Amino acid sequence: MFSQRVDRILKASILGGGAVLTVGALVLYFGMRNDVTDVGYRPQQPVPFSHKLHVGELQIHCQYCHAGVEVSEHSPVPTTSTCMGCHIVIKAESPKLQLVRDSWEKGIPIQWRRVHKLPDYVHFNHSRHIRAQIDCQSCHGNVEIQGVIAQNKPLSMGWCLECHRHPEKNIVAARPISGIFTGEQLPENYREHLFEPINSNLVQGVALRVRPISSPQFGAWETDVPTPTVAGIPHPKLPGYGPENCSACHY
Amino acid sequence: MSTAWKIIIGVLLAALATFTIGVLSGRIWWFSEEPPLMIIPDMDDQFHLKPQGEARFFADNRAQRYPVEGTLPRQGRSYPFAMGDVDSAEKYFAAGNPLPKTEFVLARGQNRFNTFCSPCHNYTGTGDGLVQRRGFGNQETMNLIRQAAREYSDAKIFHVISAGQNIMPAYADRISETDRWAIVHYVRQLQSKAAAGGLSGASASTANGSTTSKSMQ
Repeated sequence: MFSQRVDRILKASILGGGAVLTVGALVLYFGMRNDVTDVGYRPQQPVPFSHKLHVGELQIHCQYCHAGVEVSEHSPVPTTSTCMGCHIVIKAESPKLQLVRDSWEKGIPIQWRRVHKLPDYVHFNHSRHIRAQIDCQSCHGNVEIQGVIAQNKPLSMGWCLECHRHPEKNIVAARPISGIFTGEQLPENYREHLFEPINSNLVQGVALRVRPISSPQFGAWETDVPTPTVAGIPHPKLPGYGPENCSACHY
Repeated sequence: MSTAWKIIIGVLLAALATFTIGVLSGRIWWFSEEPPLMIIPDMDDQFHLKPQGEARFFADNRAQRYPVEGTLPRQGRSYPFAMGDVDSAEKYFAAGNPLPKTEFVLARGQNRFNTFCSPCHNYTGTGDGLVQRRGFGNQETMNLIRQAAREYSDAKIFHVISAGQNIMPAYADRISETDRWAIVHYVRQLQSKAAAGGLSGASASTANGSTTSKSMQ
């Protein structure tokens, strides 16, 4: 019916069109996922601060600067006075720290660029997760080897829920370097293992035990939550399954 | 099938495989300095003040405001004494440490001590932490287990943590009052362990790899 040339063009366009559609669908599906759009976001900060130096080499614990994370929803970025606590003496003349000194003298905040940003309609409470002895590394990756901080995990809803459903597969248990309080003195040899979980069996062993008993699918109300503080000290609790109902995070 | 088709299909399959493996492997192979792409922004960025955020409404652009004059915080209180005002502090805290010396309090003390004190004072209190070795102050005055420091009153240690001393900054803004008293308990434990082990000053630091562990229990 058709000439050979038309036949060939028809075949080619069907195959080509199919290929374009497939690739387009793949790009749309994967390209819009948070692990493509958000992971690897690594902005240049106004001050060239290196976590690799401060955490990796000098072993300054996470909470030394991000103090208050265990009692607050927001993990605070350190104030200028925290920087100047040491840098008023150490590297006091360094040109890299000029902005910090200006901030210190004039009282102008340093405009750090935010790396990890959740949508405003979702609430993530740092203190709750820290109190459950979940290490910073679970969500922020290996900060101690990063010169410039990059987003390491997608922070998408699917990613959150994956961990709420299977914490034993996803959580890194508290490490000494994070300064997370576990309620007990550290094991004797902790100084050789600052960057390793204090008790790596913790998550796997305990998570299965404390699944909330009411309505397994949407269960949010844990029945055995210890009091938040004991004599003013934040009381750690065991990590367990996270709530899966909407209002746990969207309120 | 002609060779041309084979090549086209081969290239397509290779591209598909690379793409899929690249995306699904979970490896970060691409970094960007630009903020993440918002294809459908929805209500991701709402108009309200965020902690440590920016607020153009105020002259200094800060969302976080200083407390109104004459008001008190609901939790905690600011430390009343200035750096060096040890006498007032000792008078005020004459009752000594209000916390009981329990395992839980000591564990908390260790946790806070390791977090906030160990960079300079080292994990054993010998005053040669990694930051101190970087050129911050001298080890002798930072040594917490030397004889002079053992004779400090609880109130004085509490005061130094709260208000600072010499080049040590004040920590009242970062460590809660309860935690500071827990640290005092833990420092006392370090001192008594060091005294029992016959350690003082630099001699402890050279052997602290194994001695630390003893002081933990």
